Amino acid sequence: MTSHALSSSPQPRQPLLGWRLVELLFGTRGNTVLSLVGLAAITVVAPSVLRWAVLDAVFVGTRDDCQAAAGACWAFVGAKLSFFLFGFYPPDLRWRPALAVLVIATLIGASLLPRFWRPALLLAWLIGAVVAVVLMMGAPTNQWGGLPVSLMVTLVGVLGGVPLGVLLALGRRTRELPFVRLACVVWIEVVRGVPLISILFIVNVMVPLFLPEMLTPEKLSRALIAYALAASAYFAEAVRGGLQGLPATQEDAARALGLSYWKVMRFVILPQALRIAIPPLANTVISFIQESSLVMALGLSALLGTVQLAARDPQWLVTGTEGYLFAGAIYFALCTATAAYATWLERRSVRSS
Amino acid sequence: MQPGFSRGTRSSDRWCVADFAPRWCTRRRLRALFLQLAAVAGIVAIAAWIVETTTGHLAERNMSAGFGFLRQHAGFVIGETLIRFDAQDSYLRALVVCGLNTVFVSLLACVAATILGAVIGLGRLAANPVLQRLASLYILTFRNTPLLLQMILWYALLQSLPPVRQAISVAGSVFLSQRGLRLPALEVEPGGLVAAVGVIAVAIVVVSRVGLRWRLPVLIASLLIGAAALFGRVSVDIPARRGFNFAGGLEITPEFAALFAGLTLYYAAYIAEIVRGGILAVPQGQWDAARALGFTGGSLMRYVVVPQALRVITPPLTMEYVGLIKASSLGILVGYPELFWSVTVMIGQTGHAIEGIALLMVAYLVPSLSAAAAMNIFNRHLLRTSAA
Repeated sequence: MTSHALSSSPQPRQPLLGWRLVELLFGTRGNTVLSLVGLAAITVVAPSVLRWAVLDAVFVGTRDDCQAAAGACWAFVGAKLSFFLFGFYPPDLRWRPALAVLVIATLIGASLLPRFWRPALLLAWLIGAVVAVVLMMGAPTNQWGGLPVSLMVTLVGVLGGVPLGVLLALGRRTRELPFVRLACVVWIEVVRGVPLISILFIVNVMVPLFLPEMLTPEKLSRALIAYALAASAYFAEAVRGGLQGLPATQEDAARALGLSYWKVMRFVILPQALRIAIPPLANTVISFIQESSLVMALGLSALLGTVQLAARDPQWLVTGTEGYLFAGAIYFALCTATAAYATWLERRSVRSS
Repeated sequence: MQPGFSRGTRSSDRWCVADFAPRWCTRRRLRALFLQLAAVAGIVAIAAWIVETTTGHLAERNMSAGFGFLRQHAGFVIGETLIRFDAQDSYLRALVVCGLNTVFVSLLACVAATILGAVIGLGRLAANPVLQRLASLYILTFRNTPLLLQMILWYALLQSLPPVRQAISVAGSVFLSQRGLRLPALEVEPGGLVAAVGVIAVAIVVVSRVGLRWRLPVLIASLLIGAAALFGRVSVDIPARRGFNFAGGLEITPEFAALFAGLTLYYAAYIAEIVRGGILAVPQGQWDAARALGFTGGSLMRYVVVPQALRVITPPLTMEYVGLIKASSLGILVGYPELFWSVTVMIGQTGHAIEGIALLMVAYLVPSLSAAAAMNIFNRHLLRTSAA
């Protein structure tokens, strides 16, 4: 690609209308070629995608309808929707996980709004978590699956990982406690240095070896422990960026006021550092939303795992493509919503400071 | 409690200068020492407890620790290998074979993702609205869905290809089916290969030394010599249908394709953003100054923009490569025999969990930590050169 196609500096956004659009599309020879190639690709791909996804697709029907049609088999998604969302949870009890997801989703929704940021929220979370777990307890944990498992894994990862990560990040920058610092550095680098899936595997295999049998938690709890431990290292790295972004004078000034270490951190350093760290923190949250699907490696079925199980159903004879696209849409919505929220939060904090 | 303030020279050390160390300074140091001892004691206690229970568990199962088991027969088959492997070979060889698979797919995906990412990143910067929007749509989609989901989707799509008997065939020598892609393979005798590599190496050296006018003749001459060296030593292995599968030729399995496509397409989206950020980081003044000096098009990019953008791009790009290598372990979930898969199979068969996990961690920590170290050196070098 040659450079005349590059707008070397960010240009203010103007409405793309009339001559400006024509000029941008066909202004130079290179641009004309690029535009034509791009438009040609769109006109070739878009209609066939449309035909597959909508025109030739089967929305309601049976396996035979799908076999007869050339397009997507959305009927498969419709028939398996409840299984996608709740896995092997007994069908007549599925109101329980549905209600649990609703409770947690409400709590998450409330926690996003700054007007609810007060101590009572913590209490609400405690009660909500207990209610959700009690609701889920309607069936043994090996029957849990789908959306509740994805949510649980992500939430435990984030809610466990953030406080641990803050402690690790603080430990990593201490000068007076070299041993503590070394331990934090080793933890962060080793955990981030190996694949997350291997941490899941390691915790799953090692915990039963390390612990006496009666203390050994079942598989789902082991996965949750693994996510919280792994998340601690990734969040520590995100927080570290925020801490490094603060001028040292902040600490000196707070110290000169006679505040203790923890008070300096609690009231001066962390509020500012976490604000700077919003983008990397949001990226870490997004990566953990996506990686909640990895519990598949332990034979647990989060949202993606249930789709894969459903696709193997010999009753339907499908490759599962439609199901994966459906699950992908849910993940996409969660991830883009998180990113949008982080952008809003960042703007809000810039305005308030 | 007041454990350490950070950045000693800037902050905490200033509070405790030896010449006029007040009593609270000594107290703080004592407290720090005590805290450290407590931390050490805690970690040692946890470690001792773990060792104690673990040895107990191992004794119950009559197992001895150690890496001797690596010499035993592996007894399992590996679906696709770069070097020969059969079930009679040892676990050690199985690990090496699968490790090579990991290196192979990671290397290919790194190269492909970099090229695709650079194209998309430049596309996002393009003034052309069609290109810009396509690039943005790509990045948005591929970054906001799980990599594992993408891989499994590619695998599912490959499964909807026709079965072997109705394979799509091009000229009777290329076959596309549920079993993957079969291509004619070039088979070169080792002697010919060595000669050809030698000729290419010499040609590269010569071409870089001679003047512009001699480049084309030298290139043509070296191509002719290379072809002569290979003459009679090359054969083409054309795949043929045999039973329910194909035999011969070069095989690209759906497992490999799903893993490779997943890694490439997902990481290309991240690399595109890094490339875009790197180019935007080159100040407008540099573009203007270069244009004023008469640089245009390719030479402007090559001599002014890219060298400066690379300084910004290299550190995050390296971290993406490390991420890609780690993510290649997802191959286990689409059935590609890579390192992580072989370790889990080995642990499942022998029960040597601790040894297996130690090997696994070392294998993945080597690229991660060496990349981190290399980036530290790079940053220091950058600071020095930009200061000078």
